[in-house]
Amino acid sequence: MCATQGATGHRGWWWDFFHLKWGLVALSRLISRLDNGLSVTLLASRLDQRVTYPTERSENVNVDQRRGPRAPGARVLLIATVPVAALFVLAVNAMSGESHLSDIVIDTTGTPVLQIDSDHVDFGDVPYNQMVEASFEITNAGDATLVFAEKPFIEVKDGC
Amino acid sequence: MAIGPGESTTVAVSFSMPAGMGGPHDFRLHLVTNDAAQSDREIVILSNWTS
Repeated sequence: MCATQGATGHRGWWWDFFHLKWGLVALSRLISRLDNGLSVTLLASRLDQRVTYPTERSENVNVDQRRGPRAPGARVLLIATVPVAALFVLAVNAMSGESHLSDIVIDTTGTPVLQIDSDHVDFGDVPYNQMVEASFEITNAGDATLVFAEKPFIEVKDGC
Repeated sequence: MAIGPGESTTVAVSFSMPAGMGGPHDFRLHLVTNDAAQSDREIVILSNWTS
């Protein structure tokens, strides 16, 4: 009893595999038909369907003949499917809440320009131990960020 | 340190010289930046220390 139920209720993994295999085959054939109709139609629309190509026998055939027989009704299905797909894409974009403009990276390859209000100062005669100070205003007159590679430093060119 | 386009900053330097180190001095303030036209900009600072 138990053995019979087991045999008829579930035929084993090979039975599932068999059905799965033929299911995939049928699905792939359907996709192939639709894909054939889609690609031919898109190609023909770009080529205006009047463009012809020579075959190996030096005959001129149109695009549809070159691609072989097409599934009947594929064009009708395509005409009905493409607008629906386009609407779906638009709906997804609208629901996403984000504009694709935010994904655009603007290349700002500008140039930094260092500008100083004065590049020369002369304190003249200064008594020992007196503190003198000078300040310089540095402006970035360019259109890119001015980056200091290191801290400003003093070089003693002449003197001790 | 970085300065955005159109922005400014101020660099201040101060000097003092003790006795015995008098005479003319020529200092150079160096500003090393990513400005390709003047990557090492010098500012000349002259002084003459006396008693």
